[in-house]
Amino acid sequence: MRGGNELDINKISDIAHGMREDIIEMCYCLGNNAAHLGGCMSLVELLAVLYFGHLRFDLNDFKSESRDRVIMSKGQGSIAMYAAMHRVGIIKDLSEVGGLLGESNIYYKQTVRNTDYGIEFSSGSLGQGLAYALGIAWALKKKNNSTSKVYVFLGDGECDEGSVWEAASLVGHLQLDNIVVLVDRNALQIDGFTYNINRMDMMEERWSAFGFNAVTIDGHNIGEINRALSFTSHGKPYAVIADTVKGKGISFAENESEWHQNVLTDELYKRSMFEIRGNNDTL
Amino acid sequence: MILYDKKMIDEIHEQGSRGIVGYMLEKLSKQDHRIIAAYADVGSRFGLIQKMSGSGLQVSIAEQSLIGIISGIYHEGFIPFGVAYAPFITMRAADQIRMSIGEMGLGIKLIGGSAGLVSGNLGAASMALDDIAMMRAIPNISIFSPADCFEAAKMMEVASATDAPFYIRMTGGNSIPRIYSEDFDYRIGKADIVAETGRDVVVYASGMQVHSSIKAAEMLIKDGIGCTIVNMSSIKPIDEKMICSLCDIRLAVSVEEHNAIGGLGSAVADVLATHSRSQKLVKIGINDEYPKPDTYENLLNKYGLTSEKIYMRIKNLMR
Repeated sequence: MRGGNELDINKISDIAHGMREDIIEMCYCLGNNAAHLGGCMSLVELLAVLYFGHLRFDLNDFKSESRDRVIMSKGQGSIAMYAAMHRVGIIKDLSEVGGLLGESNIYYKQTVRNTDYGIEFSSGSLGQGLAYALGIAWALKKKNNSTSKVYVFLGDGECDEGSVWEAASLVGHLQLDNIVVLVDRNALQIDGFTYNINRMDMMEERWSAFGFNAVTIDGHNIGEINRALSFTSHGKPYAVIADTVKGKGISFAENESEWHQNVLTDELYKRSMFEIRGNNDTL
Repeated sequence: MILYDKKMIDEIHEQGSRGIVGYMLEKLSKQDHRIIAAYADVGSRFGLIQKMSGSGLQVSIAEQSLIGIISGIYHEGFIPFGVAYAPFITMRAADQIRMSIGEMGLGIKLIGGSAGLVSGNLGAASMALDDIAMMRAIPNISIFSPADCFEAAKMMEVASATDAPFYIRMTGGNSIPRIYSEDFDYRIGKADIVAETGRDVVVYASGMQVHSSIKAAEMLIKDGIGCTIVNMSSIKPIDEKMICSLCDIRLAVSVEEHNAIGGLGSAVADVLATHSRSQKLVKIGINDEYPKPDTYENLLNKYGLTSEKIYMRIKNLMR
């Protein structure tokens, strides 16, 4: 399914709008339970380009050996991943996502590993996805699987966790060039802007220093994302630092830390849908 | 399946608590190429660098990553063992274990070396005295504490053949007294009566303390006190049936190199209370403190974990 470098930007842009609608629908399903709207909206274009332009998967076999593995280490982005999975056909109907709660569900606010449905990892405890990805990437090489890649989504707030860098160091040392790290740098975490909490500038330099090929891009620019993901890194792991806007596309949520996790009321649901659909119509 | 002849069993008993890990994983990985050993800068100590070259992975001093890494390796269809010193592979990586084993239920195997008091000369930082308590509270995991090298070998074989998570807690050092000399079936969750001189006292012991308890029983019988010594090498799941069948004995004593809170003794107490058995239980262990650095021998003595101290304690209790 990997589409190479040619990508219809208008088509991906439409898909991104559809994904934003999906995210709002899923967040709204949670009723009075808060949803991670902000950190999902910042991921949309990254996921859209990845799933529609680069990711290998088999709709008939979610466990196919040749698939690429996606690790949503930033668990707060899980609903955005479901939106991408829906648009690409892995989730056939959004109703399958259910209310994101309860014993019999498959999809939750933060992923719960279920390989029958293409969910590779349980998220929610930040800083754990990269070590898990390291194990996968090492095992793929051990199996002589030289085609599959491991895509790991990290938040910039998540990068406060020491375990991210513990794993990054070893990924660099082992030169696992089948790992692609995507850092969603939306610059916000629960207590406010990341630069007021723990300096996370020099992100590209940090990943480079740990032995990665690193690049910084506009995480909402489809063309830039596509160029970044088209790069094949040989002999080194690869890190894409994507500058994004938390809550992107919804005026009341953009750059508002209170929308890290919040309740989408009836009124806000209507308002956000109006804004998203309005944006779509202008294209 | 490994066939153990007398020569091999003798060889196993010579390995010590660390050497047995590399010795056995090499044997197992030759039979099943899915077996991997990942280790956190302890490969030379456990004989893994020498014996697991193609199937070994050095992860550096990074126990948190170690758990994530073997989880990812398991995800790809392998049977990974993670090896590190006990305090670091458990408490240091507790959150990773909580997610990988508790939440995801992945069948990874953890081996914690130098558990209990054996690294006492290095101080409390290097002693795992709380690992059982922490691991018991995490769902899905089986917790084993072998009484000797051969039982450790059997446990590793069972763990490698069972698609479930295990924590094997290795107590003792390079020289470990032998309890088992003949091959046997190791069954998860089964306790084993290793000595029976009578039914005045039942002693539940794990790890190196099985040997100390057997020696104490030999002294106690001379004073007319008969003991039933049970090797509780499977701490979780625990052999409830065995504990209930021995609850008519007047006194129960647990003996372990662990905090008296949350370890084997607490696990036995859980069973007695759950089944409304009113047997008196005395827990011999570390009394809710972290020891100051000292030799293994001095620390065992301080906490009443030598055969002489166990003998004296039980003798006094039986007065």
